[in-house]
Amino acid sequence: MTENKPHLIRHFVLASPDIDAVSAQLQSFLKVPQGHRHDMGAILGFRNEMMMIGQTMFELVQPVKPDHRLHRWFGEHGGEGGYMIVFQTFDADAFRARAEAEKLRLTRDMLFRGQDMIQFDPKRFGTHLETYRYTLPNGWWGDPVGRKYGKSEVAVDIVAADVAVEAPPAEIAAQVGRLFQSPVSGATVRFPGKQIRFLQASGRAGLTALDFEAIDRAAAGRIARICNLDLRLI
Amino acid sequence: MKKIDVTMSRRALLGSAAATGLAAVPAVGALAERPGRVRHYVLATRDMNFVCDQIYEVLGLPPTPRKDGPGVTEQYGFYSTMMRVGTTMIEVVQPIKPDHHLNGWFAERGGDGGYMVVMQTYDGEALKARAAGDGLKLTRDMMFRGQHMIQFDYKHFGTHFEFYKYTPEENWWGNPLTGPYSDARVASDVIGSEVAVEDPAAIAAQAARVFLGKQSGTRVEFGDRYVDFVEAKGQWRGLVALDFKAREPARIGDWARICGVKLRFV
Repeated sequence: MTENKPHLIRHFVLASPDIDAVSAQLQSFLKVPQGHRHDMGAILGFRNEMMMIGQTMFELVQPVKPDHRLHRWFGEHGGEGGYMIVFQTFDADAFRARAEAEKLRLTRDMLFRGQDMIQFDPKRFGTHLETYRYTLPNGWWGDPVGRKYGKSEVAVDIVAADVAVEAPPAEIAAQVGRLFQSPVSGATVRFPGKQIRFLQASGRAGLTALDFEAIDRAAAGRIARICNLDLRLI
Repeated sequence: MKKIDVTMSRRALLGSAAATGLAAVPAVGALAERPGRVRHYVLATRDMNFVCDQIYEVLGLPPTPRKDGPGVTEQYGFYSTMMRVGTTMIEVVQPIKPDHHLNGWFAERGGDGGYMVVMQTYDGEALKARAAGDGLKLTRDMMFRGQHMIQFDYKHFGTHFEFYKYTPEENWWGNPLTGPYSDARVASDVIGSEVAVEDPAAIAAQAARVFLGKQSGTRVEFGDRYVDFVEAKGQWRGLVALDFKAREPARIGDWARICGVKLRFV
């Protein structure tokens, strides 16, 4: 029964060697207070800041240990940038079965802090696509229900993402559609309240842009380049 | 915030080894043979770097530095990466050429997986005598790089149980005491494993008898480590899980499936 629930995009992650600087730019562009910062260096090797835009978590991560894999990603990616799109699934085993049927390699297949996590190889999908079957259906990563987050004065929510891929975008979109059981139109996959547009990479692959629904329609069209992403108010 | 000490100095490592009986005099007398010790696990894959990256990330383990030039194992037809978690070595191997026997094992198994449990024996001849007494076939009985190596048939025990009589006995394969290893931030050691077989009770009894472990049901304890034999139930047989001592209580119960093996935090 739970498998009939559509998959949801819950969370975007940007990675930078200096999240304080990225946060300051986001605070300015989105008119949002600084988020919650956590130092998880001792165990996980990184620090982060969690913001919330509408119903969507917006996380900034920065490696603090020299061996953290994000350093290598910066080297491969050409510096900071969009790192991950995080989804919620309601039936992880069914999701795994579809991934296996697609012969996709998982870079993470684990229970992490009690949450069932599956991650796909970014070499296939351009960016890290990660799913969780959260223990609490409304208590996803970042605790959006229990923790108080400051609101953006200019953005209602994050409503779309552009992901540049090496393979034909329509082929990737079709596969993502099959995996997430989500409707596909050309190279765009739709999720409740959000969509992902896959584009042909002309240079590096990855999460390259995010669209924010503007509170004030007059602000639509404003664009900022932050953390090597285009952030657009639409 | 509570500070967690993840350092593992050489002294601590030696101390731990001594505490677990490595250097201890047998309590029951000088003639008593010391039980076998689990020292090392081997995972086999067709993409070593992919598997190592996953392990490094999940365990918060800084990558083992690579030496310039060919590795020691390449002359034997496979790549190898060694890492240390506490006092236990984990080795990830990848065959180089298509005719390497590991490729046959992949085909038989259906993919990557846990390949071997490496143990230390303190008396190779006595181990061989017990094996002969049980009518067990040895798949290796040889001197390898100065170490006496004895390997049991994986078709019988589910996975490859390979024993070494290390010389010197304090620094086993992979050089854990002085090798270029770092400490894992997430786990302090590998304290157990799970091996899937058709008849767990019979195999556990035989493993306890031949390898000198202490049987408790289908678990066999070797000092402070254990091997749990479980029923294969039509699933993959062999080394299917490793148990890591979590540094954070909050991680107990978490797991990650890597290279066909479930890494469990306990």
